[in-house]
Amino acid sequence: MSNCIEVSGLSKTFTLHLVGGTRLNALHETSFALEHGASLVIMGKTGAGKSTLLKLLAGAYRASSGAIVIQPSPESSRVELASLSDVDLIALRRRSVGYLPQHIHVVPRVPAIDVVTATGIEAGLEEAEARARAEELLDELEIKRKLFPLFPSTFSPGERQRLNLACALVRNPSLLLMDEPVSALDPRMMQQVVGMLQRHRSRTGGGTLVTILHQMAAAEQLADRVMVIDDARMKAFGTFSEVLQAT
Amino acid sequence: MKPLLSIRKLTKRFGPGCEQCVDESRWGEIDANACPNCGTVWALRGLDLDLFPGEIVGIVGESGAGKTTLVDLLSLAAVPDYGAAHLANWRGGLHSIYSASDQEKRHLSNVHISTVYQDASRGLLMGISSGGNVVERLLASGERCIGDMRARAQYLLDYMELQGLMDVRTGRLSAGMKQRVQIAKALVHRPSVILFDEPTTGLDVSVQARTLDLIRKAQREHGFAALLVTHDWNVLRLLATRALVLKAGRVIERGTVEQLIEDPQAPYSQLLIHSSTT
Ligand SMILES: Nc1ncnc2c1ncn2[C@@H]1O[C@H](COP(=O)(O)OP(=O)(O)OP(=O)(O)O)[C@@H](O)[C@H]1O
Ligand SMILES: Nc1ncnc2c1ncn2[C@@H]1O[C@H](COP(=O)(O)OP(=O)(O)OP(=O)(O)O)[C@@H](O)[C@H]1O
Ligand SMILES: [Mg+2]
Ligand SMILES: [Mg+2]
Ligand SMILES: [Zn+2]
Repeated sequence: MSNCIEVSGLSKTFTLHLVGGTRLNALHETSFALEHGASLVIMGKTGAGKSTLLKLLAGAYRASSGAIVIQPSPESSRVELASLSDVDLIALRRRSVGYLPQHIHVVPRVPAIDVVTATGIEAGLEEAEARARAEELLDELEIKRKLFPLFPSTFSPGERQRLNLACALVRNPSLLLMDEPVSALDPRMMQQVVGMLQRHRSRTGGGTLVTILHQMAAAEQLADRVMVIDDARMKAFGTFSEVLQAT
Repeated sequence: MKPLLSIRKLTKRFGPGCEQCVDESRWGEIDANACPNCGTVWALRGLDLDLFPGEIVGIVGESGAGKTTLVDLLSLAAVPDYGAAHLANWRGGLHSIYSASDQEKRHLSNVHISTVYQDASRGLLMGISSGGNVVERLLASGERCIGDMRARAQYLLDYMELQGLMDVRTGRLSAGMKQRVQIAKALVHRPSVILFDEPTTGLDVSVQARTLDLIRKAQREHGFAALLVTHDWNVLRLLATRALVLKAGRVIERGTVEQLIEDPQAPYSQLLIHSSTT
């Protein structure tokens, strides 16, 4: 099996120029590889560096050292993130690498349904197809039809989170990076989302998932690989039972 | 994909320059844009940028950074002291737009590269109607059928949600409406590039939001590429996908908007981002 993600010696140090050049090591010398079609769940305490790793994988943060090589699907070409131009990085993110941030920014004054549809169009769908997919996803995520024409700035945190999940899924990315996608959802809704993600994997015929999760139950269902990050270091990486034994 | 507009080493100075400040290899030593030796102001120094079809690139930087200078150079309101800009759909992209004759320059800025200014009085004639402002653009490119031109103006003003204001004198419109007239006017020839210099600065928040919506809609439906000068990171996040940070006439950082907001590298970029209200 070929690898979707290959990370070697990856470190991220922030230099905070506004506070006297303080250096903050958020991720230290991390290396791992993830096969196509795998589902990796990243766990760890708050402030450990989980979001930092995900943002590095998404190209939102620039690595201080080390390398990230991504091949979204077995058919696509392998790219080293740091070598991509900003234009190519934007194209990669639109086409094949989805990223759902932990903190969500809503586009002001655009109806919810249009937000999801526009995302689909960006990813290359025809307008009608994008709209149909958007409606289907929002239905599945139990966003009420009467909310479709409303602006997401009035949505509850759980509704916003589901809207963003719809945006991530409408693109149908080969590699999907999600930072705490169910943190604002109740257990039943969480279950529903886990089911959708599993269906997404089988639909994309081996789509790869990387998900930061705190919920053990969801992690156990979703993960065939688990990573534990503690204090900027990868402490464990393996199958669920391997990691449980190691920690 | 080939760039629509290729900008190379674009440089503009105000003053004669001296041996010290003309030497490109020493620009890194000069923190401000004025030469300490001869006082020449280097408003823009060696800017390189490829603008691709349909994308919006943000230009950020504090007052005096050279943002408007860049807009003036690209709109052909000023000429560079050095450097070139090639537009793919003008003479096959083989010649710099600065090699154009005066007549060709008027055609370029009328038809191919439109500009929307912060100060509406730079972009519009306040004494005539909003429809007249749009029609003027068409007249300038040699169109003569009044009925057609009025219909086009009407369509674009409606598109910018200015229904019923076609015959109102532009000077009497509100600030937000004036910006929308400028956008309607900018769109009339379906230009491949639009330059926005702080298009919503100084507008009330709700007026600003509406203007930004209309720019987004126009961009999606007309597909132009744009440079967007702004101080506001929220505007950038909403409209642009990547951006350049200018300081004292030089590009000190570039990246995707996400990178610049989430992980600014240069001390000056960190200062810009953390001093704004994102
Ligand atoms: N853009 C940034 N600039 C400066 N420091 C940062 C930045 N992003 C993260 N950090 C720091 O890096 C460390 C790790 O942060 P990160 O967000 O990766 O943690 P996390 O494991 O996702 O935590 P949580 O579970 O609370 O979301 C923290 O100390 C944080 O303050
Ligand atoms: N005609 C001129 N003669 C002399 N100096 C000029 C002239 N026009 C601009 N400058 C100088 O060039 C520099 C860049 O000016 P510019 O107007 O491009 O800044 P800006 O980034 O648009 O600033 P702002 O945010 O205030 O609009 C400034 O130092 C300015 O004083
Ligand atoms: Mg986090
Ligand atoms: Mg200016
Ligand atoms: Zn000098």
